[in-house]
Amino acid sequence: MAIYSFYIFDRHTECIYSRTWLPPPAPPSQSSADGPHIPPPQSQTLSAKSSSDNAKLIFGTVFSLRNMVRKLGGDDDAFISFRTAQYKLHYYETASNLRLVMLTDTSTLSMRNVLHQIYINLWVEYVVKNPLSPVEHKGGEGVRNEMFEMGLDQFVRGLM
Amino acid sequence: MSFESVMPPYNSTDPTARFLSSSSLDFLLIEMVPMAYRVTNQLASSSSATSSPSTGSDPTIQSQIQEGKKEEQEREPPAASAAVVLDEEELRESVFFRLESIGYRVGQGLVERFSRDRTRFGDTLDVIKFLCKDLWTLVFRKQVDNLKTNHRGVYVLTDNQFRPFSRMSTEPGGQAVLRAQPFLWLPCGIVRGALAAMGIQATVQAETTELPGAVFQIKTIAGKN
Repeated sequence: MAIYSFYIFDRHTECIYSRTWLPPPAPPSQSSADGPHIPPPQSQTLSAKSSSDNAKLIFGTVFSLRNMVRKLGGDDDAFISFRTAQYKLHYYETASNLRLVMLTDTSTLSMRNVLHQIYINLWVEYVVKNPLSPVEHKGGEGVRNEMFEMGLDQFVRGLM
Repeated sequence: MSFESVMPPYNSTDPTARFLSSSSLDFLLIEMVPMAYRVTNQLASSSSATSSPSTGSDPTIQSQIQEGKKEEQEREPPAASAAVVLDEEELRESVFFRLESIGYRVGQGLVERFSRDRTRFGDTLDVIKFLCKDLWTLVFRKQVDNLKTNHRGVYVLTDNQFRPFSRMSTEPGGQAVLRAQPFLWLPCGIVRGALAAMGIQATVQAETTELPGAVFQIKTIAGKN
């Protein structure tokens, strides 16, 4: 299993956290021409500008898909993931309207549980219960703290 | 944090005990500090507005602005807006006094509530031990890690995993230690209040050099023990 990147969007639809992981060194050959939000081979070298564009594109995609799923399947239906030839996108929405998105390789099974774990064990513990982190995370303020970053990195690397 | 109900033999010695999510205490403690800053700033700005109306600023407008700002300021010690009314030292003192007094009251109450089944304490060291073990566990869910004394009325309590600091973290270079300092003031008050309730007048100072540790220094005031 390879995890390419991870994004958090707050209830104001702002991307308040994004993080990419270097792919294992071996297989950089296959990704040559792909869609707008590309798995890491390229996004490692992407500039800050285009990575914020990536986040916007991803949010647009999941937001539309989620609404479409609800229209088609009723309000109780949930959009969980989609996959392309290059990657699989996993989506998890909390009751507090926080949206977590993770991009992995295509063979990965459901990461819903993983995203839920990130939410309860890392987000709630190190961001929500962090006295030095504000209630609203405008511009990602307070999210990128050392404990959250370290916890997330350890957790994700443990999965890979 | 849990929605499960607690299974019966919870507390046979204390039938009046109730359970409360520890997260609510955490959140309350987190909010105390920014609240103290807000209240202090609000009081300062309203008093300066009434005392010097010549500045032309209408107090109601000012308070409206304050209301609006509240949301944004939330947990930041609002240094920028404070500079207008109070200089940093004044603000610090005033917030310290506010939090410390609240803590003092809490500490006094806690001791009355939780020392009721104990016999009188023999000497100051017994009181300090009660503070380090029982009271610390009640408030911070663990005991103090280390207690030192010079046997002349100075006690140094070291907690290597001070509970309110356990999740405190900022981005690298975010001055976490400096920003953690105000979160020690309420606990300082609790300690001083607790000691006062047990008949010991003392001054309490706390500092941290590395999160999540905290060091409390208690100086008893001579002639009172």
